[in-house]
Amino acid sequence: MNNKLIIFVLVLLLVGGVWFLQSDKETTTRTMTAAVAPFDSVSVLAFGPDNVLFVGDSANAQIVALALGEAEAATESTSYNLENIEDRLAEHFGVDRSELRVNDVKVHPQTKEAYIAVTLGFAQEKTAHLVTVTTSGTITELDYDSFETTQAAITDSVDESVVFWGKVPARALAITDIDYHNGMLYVAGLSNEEFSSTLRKVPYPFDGNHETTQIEMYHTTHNQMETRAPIRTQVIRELNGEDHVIAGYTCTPVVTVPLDSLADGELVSGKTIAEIGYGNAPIDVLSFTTSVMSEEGGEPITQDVVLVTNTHRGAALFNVDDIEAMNRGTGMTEPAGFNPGGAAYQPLPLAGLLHVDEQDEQFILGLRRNIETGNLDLVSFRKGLYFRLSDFVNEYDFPSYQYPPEQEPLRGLQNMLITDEGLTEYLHQ
Amino acid sequence: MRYWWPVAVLVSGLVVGGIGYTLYQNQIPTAPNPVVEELYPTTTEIPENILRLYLYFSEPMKDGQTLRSVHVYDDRGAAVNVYDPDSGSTGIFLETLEELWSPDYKRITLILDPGRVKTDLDSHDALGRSFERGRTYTLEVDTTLESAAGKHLSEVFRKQFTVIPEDRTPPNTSAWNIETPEAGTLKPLTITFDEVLDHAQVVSFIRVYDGKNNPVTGEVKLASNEQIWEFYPNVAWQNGEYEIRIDVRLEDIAGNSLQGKFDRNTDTDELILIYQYVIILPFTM
Repeated sequence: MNNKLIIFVLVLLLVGGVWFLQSDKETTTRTMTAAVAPFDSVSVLAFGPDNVLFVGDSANAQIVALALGEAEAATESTSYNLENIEDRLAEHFGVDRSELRVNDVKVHPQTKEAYIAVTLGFAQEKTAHLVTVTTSGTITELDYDSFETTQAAITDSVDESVVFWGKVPARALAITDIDYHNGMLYVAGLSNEEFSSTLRKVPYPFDGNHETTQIEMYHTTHNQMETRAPIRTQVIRELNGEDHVIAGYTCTPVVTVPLDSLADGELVSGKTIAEIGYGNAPIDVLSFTTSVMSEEGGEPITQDVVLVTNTHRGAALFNVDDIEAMNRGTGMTEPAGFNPGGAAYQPLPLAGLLHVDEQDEQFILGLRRNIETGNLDLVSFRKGLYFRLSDFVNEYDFPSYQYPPEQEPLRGLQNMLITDEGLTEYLHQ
Repeated sequence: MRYWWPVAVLVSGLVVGGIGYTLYQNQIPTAPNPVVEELYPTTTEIPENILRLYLYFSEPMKDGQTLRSVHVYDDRGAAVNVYDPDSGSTGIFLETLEELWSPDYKRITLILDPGRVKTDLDSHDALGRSFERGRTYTLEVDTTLESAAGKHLSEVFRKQFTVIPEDRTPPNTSAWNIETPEAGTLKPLTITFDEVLDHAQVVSFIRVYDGKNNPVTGEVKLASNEQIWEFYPNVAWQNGEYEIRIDVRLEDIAGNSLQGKFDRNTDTDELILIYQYVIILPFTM
């Protein structure tokens, strides 16, 4: 055997060995996990008082409260400009992007950091994770052992007295939204066996009790058709001096229900105050304040708004004054035709927005499916403007463009958005 | 080179070992290919306002993109559940952020777009019902659907059904026919319903209690396309009082429940039951 052959074989072995170690390292990364999460799934998130984060754990039909504890308040307001968050998360967890799904995004009320719910894997093998993401893109999984967790079951215990095909009934609830208001959690869900409108009230701190109310709503027709339907998303806020649930339903009525009417075991009727249109489902409802320029000029005025994001239509921005005006009356009792109707709203250019939360005084934070790239972006939108300037190319972007003096305010606005988006090298001169 | 042979032995050992280990690592998974075991309701006559379909699989399935593998064709072979931006149709099924799987991931619930099921809604008026009465449709589940273990469906599942006029009549327990077995036997307690009911709910929402308020344990079997409910007790029936307790949320396959119609006209349709959660049908053995 000559030396060349031995060297050849040794090189082969070396290459093979390196490849082997490499593949082995991949396997190790994949199975690496942090502390075990105190939940098996995260359908929705909601922040409560004292930095408590509520997790809707559909797999276990429970709400898990994570007492995150004291946190330092953010001192400055910076926007999120993180494109393709899915690849970043996939890299963080060491998995293929196809195995990863983002379930919800909420903003910590103090730190203003994004809390993102992530699911890895499928079926019973799936694991749920909560990470914080900073504006600079640092991803950190929560240290679940570092805070206290409590749980509340939100369905009746499984009745195992009867089997079908040798198995206990497979009733399950997908939690579609949770909201905290004045010591109470309001939980909406979609059952796999029942198309109902059951809204559950769970006191927090949890005491083992919960109440349920069935809500019906009017169709927007002259016939006054009333129907059952599950709430897809909701927000709780004051309307006409009384606390209300503002609920978004599939295809796509917006309904108000006074909180006082939600009595255990009762069936109550909601009031349809707007119709966003057919062929659509709402994703998130958000209530916040924004400042707008007053028509007379001078100081900006503060305005209460309600934002509804949608699967197949742009987002709808309601002025709370308009919702209150509708809420004072009987609601929509005339057919809306094929068009939206009821309380007026401004259609916003927020297509592809999957989840949204109020970030701070300046921004709302959105998780959006970028229609051009197909990627999931974690990006802030400046309140009042609700678009990302870098999504568009327009004549102002050409270096040769000269701003006439009367367009100076426009240039200022554009440069503010460009700065928000971290693209200061493209400031319009 | 004098001592080439020990090197050769070492090298060939490593090569053989390496190949063996690689084969071991990449061994073909032994999980079986999944199949669709059943589609509920099992009847081939579906009311045009049907609310739900259930697909049962032989294996736990991979969740997330199931609707991409489910197709419904009309009798001319045209797909009816496709997204059509021109008409605004999002398809005939309700899209949910989270798919409605059973805890064991072997059953998925598909809800027909309720906006098209209910009367007088914009979706219904603009797009019509998902199914037209008198016509025949085929539901197909293609083999792109994967089990949780990553195996594709072994064959395309197809079921043909004919669409019959809408059902806007709530089920009526007083029209049910109850046959009680003899004491001392393990024979089934049988209810024949007045119409086809939701198969999952008749399992979840109907319970038998003995005279001491204890649930009677047993197994439910369904016959005659879910129009007959048979309850086989684990322990032989005793002489005495029994109760059949029915949760009033129990629905027929068009969503009409013991509480009333799925969607009802508040001027003309009574809400049958609001506060009563359970209907009790007593029997004595």
